[in-house]
Amino acid sequence: MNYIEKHQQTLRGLAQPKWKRAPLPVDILEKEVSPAAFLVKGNTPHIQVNPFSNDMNTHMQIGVLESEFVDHLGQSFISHAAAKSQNGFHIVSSRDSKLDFPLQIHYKLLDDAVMSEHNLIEVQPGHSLSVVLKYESSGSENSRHHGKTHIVVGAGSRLDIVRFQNLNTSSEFLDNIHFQVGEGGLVRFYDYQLGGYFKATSCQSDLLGRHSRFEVYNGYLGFSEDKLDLSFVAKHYGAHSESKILGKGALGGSARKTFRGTLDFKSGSKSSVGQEEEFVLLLSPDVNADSIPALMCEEDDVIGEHAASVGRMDSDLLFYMMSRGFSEEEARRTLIQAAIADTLESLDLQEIKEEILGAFESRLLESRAAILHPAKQTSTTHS
Amino acid sequence: MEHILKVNQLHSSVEGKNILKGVNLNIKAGEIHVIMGPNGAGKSTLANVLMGHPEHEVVSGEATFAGKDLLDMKVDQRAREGLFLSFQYPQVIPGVSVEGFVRQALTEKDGKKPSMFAMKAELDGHIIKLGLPKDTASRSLNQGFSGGEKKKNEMLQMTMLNPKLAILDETDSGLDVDAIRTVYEKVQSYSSPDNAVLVITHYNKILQYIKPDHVHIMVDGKIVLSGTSELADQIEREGYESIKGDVMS
Amino acid sequence: MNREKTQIADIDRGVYDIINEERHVFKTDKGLTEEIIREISKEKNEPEWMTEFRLKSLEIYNAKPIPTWGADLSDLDVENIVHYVKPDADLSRSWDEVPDDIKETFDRLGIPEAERESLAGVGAQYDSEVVYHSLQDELKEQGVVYLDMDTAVKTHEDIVKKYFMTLIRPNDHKFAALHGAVWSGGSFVYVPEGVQVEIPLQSYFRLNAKGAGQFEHTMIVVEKGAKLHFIEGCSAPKYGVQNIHAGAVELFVKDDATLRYSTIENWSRNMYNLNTKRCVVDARGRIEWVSGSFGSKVSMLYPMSILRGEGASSEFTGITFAAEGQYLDTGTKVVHSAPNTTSTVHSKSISKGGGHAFYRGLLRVTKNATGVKSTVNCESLMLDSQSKSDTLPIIEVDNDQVDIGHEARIGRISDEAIFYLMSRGIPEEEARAMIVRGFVEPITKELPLEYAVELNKLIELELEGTIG
Repeated sequence: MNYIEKHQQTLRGLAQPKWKRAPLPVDILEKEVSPAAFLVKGNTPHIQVNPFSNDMNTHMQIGVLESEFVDHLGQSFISHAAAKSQNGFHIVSSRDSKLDFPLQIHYKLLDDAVMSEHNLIEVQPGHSLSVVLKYESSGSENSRHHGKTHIVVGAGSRLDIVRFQNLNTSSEFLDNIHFQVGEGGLVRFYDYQLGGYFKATSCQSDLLGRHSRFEVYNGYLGFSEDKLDLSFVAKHYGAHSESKILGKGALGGSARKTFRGTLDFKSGSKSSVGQEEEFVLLLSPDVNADSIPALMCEEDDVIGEHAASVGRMDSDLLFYMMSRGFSEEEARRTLIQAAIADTLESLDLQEIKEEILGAFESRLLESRAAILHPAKQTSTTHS
Repeated sequence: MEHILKVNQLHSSVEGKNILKGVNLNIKAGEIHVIMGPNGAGKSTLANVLMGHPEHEVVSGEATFAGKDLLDMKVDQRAREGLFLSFQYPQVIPGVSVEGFVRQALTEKDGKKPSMFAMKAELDGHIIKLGLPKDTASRSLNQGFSGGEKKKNEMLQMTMLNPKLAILDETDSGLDVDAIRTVYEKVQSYSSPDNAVLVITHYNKILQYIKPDHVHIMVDGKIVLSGTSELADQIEREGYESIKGDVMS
Repeated sequence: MNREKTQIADIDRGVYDIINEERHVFKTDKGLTEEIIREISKEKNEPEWMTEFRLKSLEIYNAKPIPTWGADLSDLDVENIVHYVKPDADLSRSWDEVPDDIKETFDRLGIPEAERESLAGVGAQYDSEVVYHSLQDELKEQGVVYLDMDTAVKTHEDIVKKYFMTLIRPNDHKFAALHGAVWSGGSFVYVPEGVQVEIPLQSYFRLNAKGAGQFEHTMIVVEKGAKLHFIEGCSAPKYGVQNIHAGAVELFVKDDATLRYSTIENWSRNMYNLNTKRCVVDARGRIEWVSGSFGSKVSMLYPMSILRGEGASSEFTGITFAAEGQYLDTGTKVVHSAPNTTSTVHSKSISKGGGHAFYRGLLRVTKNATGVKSTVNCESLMLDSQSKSDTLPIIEVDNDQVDIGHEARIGRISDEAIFYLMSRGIPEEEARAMIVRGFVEPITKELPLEYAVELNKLIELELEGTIG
């Protein structure tokens, strides 16, 4: 049995997935996958950007990587992406690839479409690569995204990867992303989950090499009946490895979110440092915000820290801004925007940064009702 | 006069990098020595190597303390023999009170527990003289202390432990003028015919507070020039550039 | 890769709980029959309702599977419990049979002769009569009731019936059901309205209980505006031949009342400590937990505070020390189900020599619990790289008017700190011990002096590794 057949068999043998915190749509794995339209920009002549090939070598490589990836969303989703994907790339960096000239892949999902992507990205030792993945909807009806991406970052190489999910609010976005970082490698992952009413992501980074580093910056918004379940796991294997997980978001309406940040120090990861922080701004009394910051440790010579801060906006701060002429809505919008901007601070790609911030601002303007506390809405005048 | 510290051709490295490249130094009882020099010269490294910091490896050379082989002793042994280091960045130890800490150190040194009341009274007395808050004895060691308070706490320990040789590593850094004066007045008053003090500093105006017997200039891992307090005067007036010509290579 | 899967299984309700999976392991004691239960109840001379309660619990026990998350309980001897709870159970053993390291620990901790035999389960009854009676006179004046649970069921039937296993229901989990069926002994304290009990009450009864105190039930009711500090347990290792401890502690704190509940639990290294402790707090009431968990082979302990009255508060200060061969799964749960409630958690853990400390915490704020403020601080100290330390806090917030801060840190004793102490003449081992004592200080300072001293001694012993 080949790779795809094995996964198909696994998929058939698994029961319908049931999640405890974010309720999965019943037909989540049922609908037919079709190829999604995409646009590729910025592939300088030597970066290899080929359609993901279902050949034996690629499968062997993926098979090994899969065995290291913990199926946080569930094996069903791994097998589904492996067996049913109709989009995806095998990207290999070149000596010429530069951090400030990103390879961009923009997806546009049609109404009622279900896309599934399977990707392998390799950043060769000593190379630098920037990748921007963008997801948008062409219409306003439901569309769905499934996917899994394995990224291998070689010794001494650098990868900046931006994922900007800006689907319409009727869509579902699910994804698995897996990094393996070699000696002295540095990965910075900027993950912005703005669109979709249902977003579930699983991100795992294996810090294999000595002095390997991984940073993930995550920004999100949830309104009305949105459901979010975002998981980030940093596994330290190599000595002197460093990780940073920073998540900031705002929830309004009756949105529900679970944020899982896990730092896992394996035996042998001496002198490693891991840091995880989550900040959530709550905008309405009907939200559900769950945080599960986990710290696991088998090695004594490490420093692991996590912090979670959940609450409403600082009323002193709001008062100060209003005393300087901001309306309450403007003040709130500005503070949420500031939180998201904070996560983008280290990103050097100006264009995409502005695009992300612009999109967040638009969504915030559209959801002005949700930003203001429901009790106060009646007395607010639109300025 | 008795030799307290004799250092001969001391070479050391940290994480494979050579820092001390043949330091020679002789300190006798009753003396105050000052080591000055540009950043990165290895001044703090010398202090840490003498105290036995585990990260620093002695490559070659000797050091004797009151006639005994210093480099052969474990850190705590060196302390019990009478060596004291006032740290540039004193550690915070939550849950261990200043009083408890001093008591433990004294017990180790003298081999028996000091009298509860006598020690507390003496401790509180010094606390007040150093200008530390009254309740310092019961506070967790260095926790929540300002920079100046931490350095004064180092002086407090020095006074209570009464070492033969006190090495002060940049004790004045980060302090305001008043705190500097308090600290150095303490140093001067501590110095006696039975002990010695080694001050490591950047601070040119040190001569306002203490009268060193010997001033050394350390550059690139070695003591390159030694002199009297006049040398410090010259540095203050004319900077390190002025002595470049006099430096032995 | 195996540990991943185990972790998923372990943390089925947490990190990887996105998947719902059911696993069942059924094990019961065939010897625990209806007849045996009736015999137990008869021997105690209990009222009819209690007998019925036990029988109902037995039914539930037989129907429930052993939980498969958390610790590995497959070694647990649930098939022979009857031998230790039946009325004519012979629990006495000779002093010779008591393991040497237990005897040595008694020695090092300075446990009085008279207590040693009792702690080791060697037949002799601990004679606490004299002390007990003088205390009783004082308490009687204030109207405070302090009895062993077996007696209280009969003499204060109304109160007991009102509260018994209403917080920890037999249906909650298999060991709660087991407890409901075979419980024996424990303390009962009732503090009437407005009474401030100035001196801490210490439990005496656990030393005498049948079943070597392994299914004891503690019930404390503190009425409106009253105040009590209750201390249970001691640092001496409690040796149990039968290896399960499934006790229950139910605490009821009424409006404006305050209860401080301190325990140091140290069970011998063959024990499974599955104690369940819960407290419900009414308006403006306050519960303070001070907890030291040592010993046992496996512990699963999650003292839980339910803040159901407006303005109620909970404070938890605890230390867990997992040494060689131990798996201590401990933590705390706080449920805010009323407005303007506050909670703080300071949890510290130490793991050494391959020990595994697992902090599992839950902070839940319900929809109507507006104005909640909560701070959680967990610190884990690993003394070597054979040990394991995990922290899995779950924060569930269902409204927006909250102020929640959570912090956790894992690390080891820094070389810099050791160097600093050694530079003051303190030898390396003593320097480590000082730092560990300093780490634990926030807990020891909450305990009465003799307990704090014992706790420090116990830590010293644990650091030395003499407790096997």
